[in-house]
Amino acid sequence: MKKTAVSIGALLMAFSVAISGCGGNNNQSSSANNGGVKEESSATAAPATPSTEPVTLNAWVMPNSPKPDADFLKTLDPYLKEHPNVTVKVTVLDWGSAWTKITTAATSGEGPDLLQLGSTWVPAIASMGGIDKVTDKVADVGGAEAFLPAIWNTTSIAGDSEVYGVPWFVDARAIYYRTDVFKQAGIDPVTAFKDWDSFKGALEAVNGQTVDGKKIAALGLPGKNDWNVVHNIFPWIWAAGGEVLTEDNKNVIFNEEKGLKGVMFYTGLAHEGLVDKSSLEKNSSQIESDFGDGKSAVIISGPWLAKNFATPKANGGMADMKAAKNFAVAPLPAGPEGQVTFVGGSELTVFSGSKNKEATWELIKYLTSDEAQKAYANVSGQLPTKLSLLESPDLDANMKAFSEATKYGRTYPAIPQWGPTETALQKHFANIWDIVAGVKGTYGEESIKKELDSAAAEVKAIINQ
Amino acid sequence: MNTHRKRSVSSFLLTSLTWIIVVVTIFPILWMIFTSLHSNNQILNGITTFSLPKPQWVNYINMWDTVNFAIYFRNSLLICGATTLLAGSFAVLAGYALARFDFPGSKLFGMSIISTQLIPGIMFLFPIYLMFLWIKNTFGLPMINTYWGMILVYTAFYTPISIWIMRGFFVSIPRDLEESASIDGCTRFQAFYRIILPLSVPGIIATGIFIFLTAWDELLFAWVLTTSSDVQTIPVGIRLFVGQYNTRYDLLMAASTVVTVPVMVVFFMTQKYFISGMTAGAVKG
Amino acid sequence: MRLHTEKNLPAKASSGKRGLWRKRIRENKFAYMLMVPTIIFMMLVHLIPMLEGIWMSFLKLNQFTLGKFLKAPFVGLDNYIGLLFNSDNPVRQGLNFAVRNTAIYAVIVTIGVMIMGLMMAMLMNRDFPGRGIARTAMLLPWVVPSYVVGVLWGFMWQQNGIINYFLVDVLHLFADKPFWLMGPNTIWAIIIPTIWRGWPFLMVIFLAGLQTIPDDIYEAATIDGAHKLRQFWHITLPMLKPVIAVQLLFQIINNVYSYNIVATMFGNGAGYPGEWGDLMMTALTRQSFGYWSFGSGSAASIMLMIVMLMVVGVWYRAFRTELNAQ
Repeated sequence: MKKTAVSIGALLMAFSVAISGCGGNNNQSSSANNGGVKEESSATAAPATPSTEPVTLNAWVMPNSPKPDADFLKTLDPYLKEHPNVTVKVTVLDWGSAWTKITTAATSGEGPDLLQLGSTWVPAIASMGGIDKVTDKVADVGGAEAFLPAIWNTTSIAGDSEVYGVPWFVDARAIYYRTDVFKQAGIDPVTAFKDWDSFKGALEAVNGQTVDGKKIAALGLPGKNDWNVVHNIFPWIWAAGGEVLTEDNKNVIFNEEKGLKGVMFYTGLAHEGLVDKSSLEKNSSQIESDFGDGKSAVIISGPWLAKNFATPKANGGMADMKAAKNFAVAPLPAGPEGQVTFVGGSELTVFSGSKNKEATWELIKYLTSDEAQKAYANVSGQLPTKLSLLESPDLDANMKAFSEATKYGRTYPAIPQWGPTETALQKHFANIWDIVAGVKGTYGEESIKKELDSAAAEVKAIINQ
Repeated sequence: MNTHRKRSVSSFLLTSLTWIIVVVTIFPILWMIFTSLHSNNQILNGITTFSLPKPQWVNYINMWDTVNFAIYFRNSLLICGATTLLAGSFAVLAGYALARFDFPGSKLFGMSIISTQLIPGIMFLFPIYLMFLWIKNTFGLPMINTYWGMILVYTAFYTPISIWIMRGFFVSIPRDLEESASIDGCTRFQAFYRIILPLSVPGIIATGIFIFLTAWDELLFAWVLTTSSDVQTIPVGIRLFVGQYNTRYDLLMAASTVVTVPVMVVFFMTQKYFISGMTAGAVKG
Repeated sequence: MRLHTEKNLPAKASSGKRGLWRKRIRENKFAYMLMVPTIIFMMLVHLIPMLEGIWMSFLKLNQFTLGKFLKAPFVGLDNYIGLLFNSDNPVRQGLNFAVRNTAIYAVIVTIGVMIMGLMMAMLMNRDFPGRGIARTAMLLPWVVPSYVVGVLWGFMWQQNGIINYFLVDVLHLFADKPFWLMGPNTIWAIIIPTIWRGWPFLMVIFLAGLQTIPDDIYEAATIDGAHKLRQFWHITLPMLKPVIAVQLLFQIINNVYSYNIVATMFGNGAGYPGEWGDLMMTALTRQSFGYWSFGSGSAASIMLMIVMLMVVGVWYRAFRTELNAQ
């Protein structure tokens, strides 16, 4: 009978543990909610003056920096010291599931107070009613004039004057190259990145140079397993004179002749042996690491890489690498129809289900102040969004090059359907990389055109739904 | 003599084959541990040597403060533990009912258990989310982003398959035991918990391990139904080493090892029960 | 694996009559009580959301109507028709690959884990030095979470990764290092880790099954002069058939609904696995949350469910005798 007692005990314990475990949790979540409820009542009582009632603000941010939650809170530290009644709870979303999570939050109204959104996501989430208009408040943060125009454009839905977010940081792409390798090959970097022809010429000269006994590939570029597949290709389409959509956002034209030319040039670099084919399987992180390791002489990346070169190995950085002391940043070469790079970034938005909108806006105001912008740019390795800071003379040389790049930066049409559109583009552009790698048909204008056409058909179906 | 030698040769070959397969099988796990001792840059460049002059143990320190991993660990343990206990208890009860009673609707119940396994999770992910919201708005009971909500969902997920396992186990226990108990004046419930339950401990443990490991592995619902680090589980937390601009594969591999090893240890300690539990249950499957 | 096992009443005789039916319900009150918690949970988490899901498949649910959810415009069978007959439907184009890949994947993985599991169980059923350690070691892959498996194998499959190192530099099986994460090879890159993680569990089950086969059957067969292969075909397999039947079904279901490994192996969890790596679950997730066409996502889910119900039906017919024989 002893056994009986043991097994019954086990069962009972099962229930009691489960019950007590959950009781504990209920307290926790209700305490988290209390702040919200209280704040709501105080907001209705005295909406005009900043409240001193205790507020807990939930913030959803992406992993923008090495220690996403700690870095964010550190940036906020001065503000929180000044406003002891405000507590900020940070939840970091990962990029893989962020989209899913934000969609459910936006449609249900159950979510954070402060929401970071990728610049290309703002129109979509706004059209779902997931985030609040801030049009009449943006004057607080300096208005449109204070921010980089390329990213400010994404704060509204195309054809609508309402503003839904405030730019937080900018992610721009430029060229990183190995100064020592260029010197060895006798290439002058000043002329090398002038236009497509000089760029290709330079790559051909650099390709196969022997550095420390190893042959170096001219260019490193990620293929389909990257999360920037679309951002990597569009600058070349734009530089060739292509566009995603027509002016009225009703027709798809990136698959037309000019767009195709851009794609052919970019993928051609890989096809013609200027890229180590194995890199086509890799993602951006791996490409950056290859560059650090001396496997490639040129890559296209963002400001965070410069920061990574200054970070010691134990913290995941590449400061010990030779490339860390021998790199420079240059703008993307000009195509037949001009110089273009992709400018993305993130915006801060007020979630429509928030019960602490005033307090959230105050937080956004602080995060876009010069002080916080500088601090966050510093920890995240991103560019600030404010023109005054982008043009400030105390930027270091690398950052200056990126700040320069933002001037010819472009982004996608701010249509609400951009989310699904990017999903479709990602799928088809991934196939293009399969073709380039030689694992799906033969590479040629015909096969690439075919893939672009089917991408266009899919995008057309999406924007016309 | 000759056949004896032939047999020992073939036995040697079979044993060698077994060990080769064992080595190949555990190689990826060893490789994961080996990888976790490299720097981020080395991992990104691809590791193809077996020498490791300077193991980067610091990864195992950094992983805890780069991402607040301890919290995710705690949440996973709590949610999966509670799920194991709840789903296990339900499975014991319903499994017994299915194994011993031919009641009207038993066939329907059996079929609906299988049918639950055929619903694609993605289809009812969104409905569940909205239902949880409705529960909160109607009864004031928060469900999204609570341990309760996660435990409820996981319990419902893993109960059906556990019922199958438990049912097989109960079928393997001879019926005479309860019959003689009822002759002794035991009620059905008494016969169940005095006679059958103690005999089923290995089966219950086996089922429990099964539930725990399956819950530990769940990704999709954890992604959507948890919205703050108070409740988020390991599969959510571990993805945070993957940044958009800066991915820490070194820490990711270290965290993967940390996630796997304790489960392995527990599994080591309980595998005796697991195997014997499965042995009894599986055969009657 | 009978659904109704021990008959405590002559069921056939009673079935037509109402009174007897009621009596049977009354008599089995205890059984119903045992199932109450399970039924409540299943209603809450499976039944109600599934009904909502079915309703969703008749709605035009996209990003503009999602907020209305169940009150979104009703479009009847449009979602189904679009998926089945409209070849311009972008969603359907992507699904073709997913259907093909899932079929290949589920069949190969299921067969792979069954064969590997059975083989290992037979090898482990012998007495040899270190058997206990070997058996435990073999079980370890099953303990590795699948979201770790995806990332880990993603590294191993890289062109300059360890697998190509073995295949090309050590074994010289290929002249050039192949791509595993791009192109048609992708399907192997997802099948092999799944088999790797799946077979240990099958090994335990089969090992358990083997141990219940009495030794004297084999001894008798050996005396009759039946060699090992014959013994396997005529004793081992038939004796294991019920176990195989159950595991076959669970494996098929598991593999058709496989998600984690593919979702974590490509593009850091956000990428497109490619035309040879996309499975039903990743495709449906992309359809619902990537394209925001929840309506056709649900319709596709329901069609998948119907197909799977048919698979279960075929399975039941094929193994009916074994299932009812116990």
